[in-house]
Amino acid sequence: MSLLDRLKMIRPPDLSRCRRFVVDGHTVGWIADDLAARLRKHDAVFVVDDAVSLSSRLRGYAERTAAVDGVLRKLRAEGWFRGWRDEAYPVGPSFETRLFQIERAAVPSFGVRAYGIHVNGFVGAGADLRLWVGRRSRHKPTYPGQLDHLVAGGQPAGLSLQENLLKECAEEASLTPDIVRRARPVGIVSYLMGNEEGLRNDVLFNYDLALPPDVVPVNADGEIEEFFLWPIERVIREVGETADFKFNVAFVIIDFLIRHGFVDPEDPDYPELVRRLRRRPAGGLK
Amino acid sequence: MSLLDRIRYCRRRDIARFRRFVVAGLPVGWIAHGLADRLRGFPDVFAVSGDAVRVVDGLDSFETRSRAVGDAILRLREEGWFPGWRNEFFAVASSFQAPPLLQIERGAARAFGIRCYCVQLNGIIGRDGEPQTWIARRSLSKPVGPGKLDQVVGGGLPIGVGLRDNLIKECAEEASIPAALARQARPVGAVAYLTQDGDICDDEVMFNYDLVLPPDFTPVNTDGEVAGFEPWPLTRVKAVLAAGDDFLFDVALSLIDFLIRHGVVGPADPDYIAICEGLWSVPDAAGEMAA
Repeated sequence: MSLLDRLKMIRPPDLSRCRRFVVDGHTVGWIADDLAARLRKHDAVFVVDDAVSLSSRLRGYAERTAAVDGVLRKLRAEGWFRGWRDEAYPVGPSFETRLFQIERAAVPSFGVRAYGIHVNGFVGAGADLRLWVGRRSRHKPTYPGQLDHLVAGGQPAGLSLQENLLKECAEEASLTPDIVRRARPVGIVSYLMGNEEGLRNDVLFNYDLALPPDVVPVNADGEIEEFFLWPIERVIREVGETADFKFNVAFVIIDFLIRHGFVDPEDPDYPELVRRLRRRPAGGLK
Repeated sequence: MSLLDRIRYCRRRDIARFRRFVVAGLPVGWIAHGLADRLRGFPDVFAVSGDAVRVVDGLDSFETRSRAVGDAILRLREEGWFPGWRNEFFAVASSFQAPPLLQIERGAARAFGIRCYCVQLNGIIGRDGEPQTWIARRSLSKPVGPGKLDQVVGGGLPIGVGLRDNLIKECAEEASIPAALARQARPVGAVAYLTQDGDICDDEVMFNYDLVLPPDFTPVNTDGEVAGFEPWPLTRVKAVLAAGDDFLFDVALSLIDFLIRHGVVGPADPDYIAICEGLWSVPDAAGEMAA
């Protein structure tokens, strides 16, 4: 296996079995035909034809949110949407433009874009660089026991990226605000993939956080079982040769390896590696 | 004007003006109709149809294709085609991994719309305080982008030369950066674009490097390609990129990547996601090109 093989493990979604999810004239997601058929019964909220549209009678963020939430709770009682979280994610045509919010567990079923933050926490530089790696709790509903970043989390509605970064760094690693302020935004990783619930249409905001050697992370929310400080060669080996890292954590680490010069551009795979780290713009750039 | 405008400029697609350039059954470039029609005059070399220009099947090796296409290009040069002759060859291949199918004079590579590769260097000034980088002003005699702003070092990748060797050579010629210092340059990623303007299709992958230069180092050009160098704060680079097209259009892409990696362009900037995703906007197939 190679780093490129790791990126190729992602399964492209079958959009031919999905309909566009349209709100206020904007495509904001993709809904599989079986869910679309079920939503037809809630015609005060969803208009189902070639696309699934939110009824234009619903005006404004709060009204759309309440109407969709009412339908989702009925469907949940029928067994839809595994792993209900009572956590709201924003929905809209872009990160800046949000039209309503939706329960996190329903995000893949509606194929809406979800956002997250990932923090590469590292000590040292060059060949001596070491990366903090966490082992996810075996009790987590998703990816139990897999390897993770020092800090990573979804971006809920109602928090800014910076607020979420401070919150997640405190909960997952007990990092103080004065340490977290050293985190530098370094770009994104994005992808569109099919999964058993629908599709993941994710954007991960990545941060680099250079830590002093005496800062040792301590998990406070029970989501991480143990932290390791691994030499970068070990990280490269685990990412390239095993599937132990959660898939999207592996993507963000490959981006980190490229940015820090740990992948040789003379490697024939290099352009393809860089290309696959971000979803190609979908016609939206006019 | 915005950073996103710099990205948009690099993805103008005007395929109606072009035919595919096909070698050994593989699409490797884009040729404008005017040149395609002129290539009909070389039936031993090119098979020209309404949608493609193919190198004839009889030319079945790197050597025979390179010689025959090279001879045709030399003849056309006498007629005034291909300004900016370089006496340097680019590889023509279906991908970065694939073996070259032929080589082509660099001055003709743009007219054949082949994918080019280059190295771009950000010369970071290693001193405390606000981060700064060296910015170059291109010589007025450059065939492409005369007088435009540029990175401290950048150069196309000739056939048979490795990326790192090319970087070290360009560092010496363009900025008098000694080889020992140039070797410390760190590869940091790549950007790519395909843009069509008039009769030219530019299709390029740019390999980016960062190099921290000592504060007492001042770049000096030796090959006449640079009119001068200036140290710029990264915030000024960002402001000038957003304000207009003072930077060479492809250098703008490489620099936006630089500003993103250094946190100078961040999630609080408008269109951050679209900008990040737009740093690699090369279509895979003709079908996607049309979409």
